[in-house]
Amino acid sequence: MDDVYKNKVLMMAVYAGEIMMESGAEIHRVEDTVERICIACGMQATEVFSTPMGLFISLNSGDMEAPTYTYIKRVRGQVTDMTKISRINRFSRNFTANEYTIDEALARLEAIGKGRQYPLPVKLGGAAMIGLFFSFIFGGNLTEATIAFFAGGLSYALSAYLNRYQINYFIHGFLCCAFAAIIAMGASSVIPGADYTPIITGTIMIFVPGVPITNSIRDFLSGDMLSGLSRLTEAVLTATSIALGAGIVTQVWQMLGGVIV
Amino acid sequence: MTDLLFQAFIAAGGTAGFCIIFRVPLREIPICAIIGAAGWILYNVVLLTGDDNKVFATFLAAALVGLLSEIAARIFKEPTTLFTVPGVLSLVPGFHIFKAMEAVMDNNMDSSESWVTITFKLAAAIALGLLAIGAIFNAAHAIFNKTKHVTTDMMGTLKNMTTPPGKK
Repeated sequence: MDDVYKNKVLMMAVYAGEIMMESGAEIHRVEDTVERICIACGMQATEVFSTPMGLFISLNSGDMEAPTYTYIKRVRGQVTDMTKISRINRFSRNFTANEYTIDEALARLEAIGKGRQYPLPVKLGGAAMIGLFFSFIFGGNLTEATIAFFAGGLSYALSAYLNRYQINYFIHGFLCCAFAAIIAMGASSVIPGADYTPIITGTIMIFVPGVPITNSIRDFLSGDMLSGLSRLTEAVLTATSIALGAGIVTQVWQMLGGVIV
Repeated sequence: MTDLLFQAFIAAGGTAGFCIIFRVPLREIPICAIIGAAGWILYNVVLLTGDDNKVFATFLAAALVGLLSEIAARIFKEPTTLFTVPGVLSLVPGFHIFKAMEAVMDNNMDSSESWVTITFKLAAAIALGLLAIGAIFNAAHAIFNKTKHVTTDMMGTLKNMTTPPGKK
């Protein structure tokens, strides 16, 4: 009986940690939540080690005679989802206040894990808004912002399509921004009074690694150097892929234009 | 003045767009938008005061975003990340990243060096702004809640926990 109970606690803790890690929570929050959940279940000796790539949990009720359980969970990929983080946060607060039994808690966690993103048309609208407003921020006029509106929506649609397949994040960022740059160059050469720079800069903001940057700072601050470094590297590489995609397209376009004209 | 209002509007719109992509709960989207707009306005106001110190302006704006996010997180009982991540994005130097890459592609050594340098400086300013506020709040939280350094015995059992144990 004790074994089943311990196993359930372990599974619940692993699942909660995995959801948070995948949704883009910082390490400190993941480790703290998992530890609180386990301790609330009477597992006094709990150790958690979490990195952006995986989660290690080991628990024992603090008794030399009782068995120790360990689970290693590899975490792959990341889809930023603030609603999941916020719900798990609330879940762990309620759970540690003894509001649910363990089976109820497992059912609740499952419901949180199944939560879907906003529907694709809404997200496309969001991406188009980013293109529109950020090209204004980078000094664009109304024409350029309107083009960036469509370029943002289209390149996000490409990104959503690529996300269905197992594609390297570097290639992903590169392709999406190259596509955005192609739209920007094409539109700015056809439409008078439109410069390509605000269009491209507004559109590539969609793919800028804002989450890894902020999270790596928080990880460094709480002393999780390993994940801080790995997220910082991720941010730098993603930014490079984005800039490379846009840069190569503008360069090639200008070379070809020089040949044709 | 109208220009500042327009800047606030576009920053709020851009931040709201990121909120949709990051699936921030609907209730918190307006608050994120306000935080993003506040950061961008402070950036512009600092630039208006005279010398063209973008790095310092970004630092102050990021610190303001961090501060407002910590306050909002405590009011709405939500994780701080939920407000910081979208809020800080209007300060991210997307323009500079692109300009740096363009200069590198043009093989223009002098301007590429200066664009790359300013990009890293701006990114570091965002990081330091958030870091400063985060560090202050961390320390204040630990002192006010009297979070003691936790010690463990050989098994790893926690000796002086603040949360009451016991659920079965």
